Amino acid sequence: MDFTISDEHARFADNLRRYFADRHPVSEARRLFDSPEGYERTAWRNLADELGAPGLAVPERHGGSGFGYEELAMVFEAAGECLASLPLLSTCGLATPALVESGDEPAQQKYLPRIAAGELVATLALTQGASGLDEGATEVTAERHGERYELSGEARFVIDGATADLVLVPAMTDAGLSLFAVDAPDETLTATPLVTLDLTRRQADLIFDRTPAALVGPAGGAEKFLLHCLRLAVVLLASEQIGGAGRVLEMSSEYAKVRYQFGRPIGSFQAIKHKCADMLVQVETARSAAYYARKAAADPEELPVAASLAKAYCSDAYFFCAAQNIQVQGGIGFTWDHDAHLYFRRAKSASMLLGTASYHRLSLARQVGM
Amino acid sequence: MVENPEAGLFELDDEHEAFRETCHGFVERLVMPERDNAERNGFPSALWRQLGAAGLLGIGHPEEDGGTGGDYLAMAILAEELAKVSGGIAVTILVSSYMAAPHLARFGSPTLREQYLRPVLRGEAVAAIAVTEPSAGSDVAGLVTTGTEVDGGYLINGRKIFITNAGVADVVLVAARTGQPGSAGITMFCVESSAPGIELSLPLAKLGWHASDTREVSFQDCFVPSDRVVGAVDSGFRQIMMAFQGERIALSGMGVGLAQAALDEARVWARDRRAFGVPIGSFQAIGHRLGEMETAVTAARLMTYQAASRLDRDHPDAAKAVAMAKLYSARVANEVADSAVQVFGGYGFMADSPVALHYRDARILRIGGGTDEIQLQILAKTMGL
Repeated sequence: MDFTISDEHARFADNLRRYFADRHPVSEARRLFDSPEGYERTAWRNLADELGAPGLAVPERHGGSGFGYEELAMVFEAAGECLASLPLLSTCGLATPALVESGDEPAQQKYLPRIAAGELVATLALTQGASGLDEGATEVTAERHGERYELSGEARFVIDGATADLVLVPAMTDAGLSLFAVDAPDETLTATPLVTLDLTRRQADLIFDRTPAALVGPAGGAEKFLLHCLRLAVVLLASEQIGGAGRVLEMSSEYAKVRYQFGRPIGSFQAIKHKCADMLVQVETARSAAYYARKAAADPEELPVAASLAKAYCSDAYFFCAAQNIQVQGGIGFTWDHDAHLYFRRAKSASMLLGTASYHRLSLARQVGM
Repeated sequence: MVENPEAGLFELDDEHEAFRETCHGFVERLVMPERDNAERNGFPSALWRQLGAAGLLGIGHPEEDGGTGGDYLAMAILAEELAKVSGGIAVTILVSSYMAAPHLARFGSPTLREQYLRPVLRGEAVAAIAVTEPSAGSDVAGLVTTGTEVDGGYLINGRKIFITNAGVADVVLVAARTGQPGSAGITMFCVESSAPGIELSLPLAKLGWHASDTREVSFQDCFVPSDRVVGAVDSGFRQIMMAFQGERIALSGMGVGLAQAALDEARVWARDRRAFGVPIGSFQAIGHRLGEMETAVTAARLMTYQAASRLDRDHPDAAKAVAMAKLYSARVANEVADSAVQVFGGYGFMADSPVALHYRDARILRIGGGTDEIQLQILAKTMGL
């Protein structure tokens, strides 16, 4: 595996950083706290029009640019850096891989071009907090009526669950776990927005009451491709985490240089400079894990280990750095107006999404036969 | 610890404070000068009678057996003061009087107490306890050494490992299986170390505790008369578990003493050692680290004293407090010893440095007397999990 970053990728990352800093400064995230959706459709479409970001991992025949998850992960990193309020994890991190990996050509034709164009927000209704696709991860069942199915049950903590136009739902059928598409809104689908710790990413509880749904992919056996999708999502989320972790380190070191106490910049005190150095060590080790996972996304053999490794490291590193950042900022870092708490909230919520660090360590232990 | 909260704000009462002075004086006068020699050549045997004469071997033991009064809190204080010098010296003393002898004191017949306990408390004999086996460490109920009943007594067969004091003991308290598998079939025996059928290995080389004698002890058809059974047949497991409480208090106190000694060394070094033109203690990286160490040692000491006091008063949460204190003190000892070595820099890495000694001796505290994991298991159980 080649770990060098190509000139092309370096330029792309640079452009992404500039784009997000310009269009999605943290002040935008603050402005959107109080909006019902938590993000703006126009911003989402702009991201598609100007960067083609939602279509990066969509095959060309379905209107995407046919790049891969490595490039998409770079978008996540840049978005994580400024807490961009966009339906990125739901649509690109969860729903797109699910559609692509399902192998269901008609469903792909129906949805992927609109996703790539930034016209459709989609999500995967897998109860977050369940560690993955462990037994009991879905509490939704599907009943067949001819060619159509009806879903009943509940999915909790669904990312962008109250605003998605397309809800992909893993549900149990007689044939086993299967994936279904539900076009939202629908009167049989009740979405209850949740008040969560992280103000910059919305979640909702979804209750399906005989909700009409179309089968996506094969009847039964969906865990095979869904597990792979979740690992891809984990890789993307880890990239987002490393973006945020890098940013809080930057905030700390910038502040340590300009904040004066006792007649000196606080960064000249070892208590602060060593803290920043500890953060740097965390960020750089986590970055290595995240970048390795990005590369491994294209290799089904390496992905399971790389994904869990990255999520375990990046979760801990981000949370550590976000907490240390508040300490470095001191009193001002504890105020509502300072951005430190927004990163702290995101760090915590991201560490719990798609499996905690402990879950992924357990997963690694299992993969080496323990 | 005080009985009336108004009396002393979590300070030791006068009696225990005076006892600490006694221990400290004894240790400074008679133990500290022996430290380097003991690290190289083992425990100084002349110390036994001096300890006995000072009453430091009989704390908490019945006065009719030669005990000197006092409680678990006093024993914790003794452990703390001894471990400030050397973990190896401390454990040798504590095993004899406070880990092995309590089996005789609590469960032994009058004859056994007269014959073995009394000399141990006077420092005229040394005791060891042999429970751990190659395949049964934390899992005491899994021990496989057998005690087979024969005419007039029992034949003991099996192997015990990591037995502290094995090479210096006159009497060994041995746990053997006399009944069914599991915890219900274990009996404690009082065995003279000179008995035929006992074989000792050479001293085991260890990471730390260099002043302590640790060996493997093998039993081959070792005959023990029936009157040397300690307590009731098949009730040894319960006896061992009861004795563990005192053992853990001793180890917890050792952790506090070790950590305090390492901290004291580091503080003096940080004050006197200069680098970049100033005492290194004036750098925050060092000064703050010492602040962390001080805080941790104080917390570990308070937990240890509280656990000992609760044990002294049969408090309903005594076992929980003991497990927490043992767990925490052992961890603090390791962290503080590690920090002390860091503060010393290259000098701390030299074998003869006192902080190197404490660093070597700290590690076993997280293993002996029930590992960290066993303490956590106990705690989980007390929390209903």
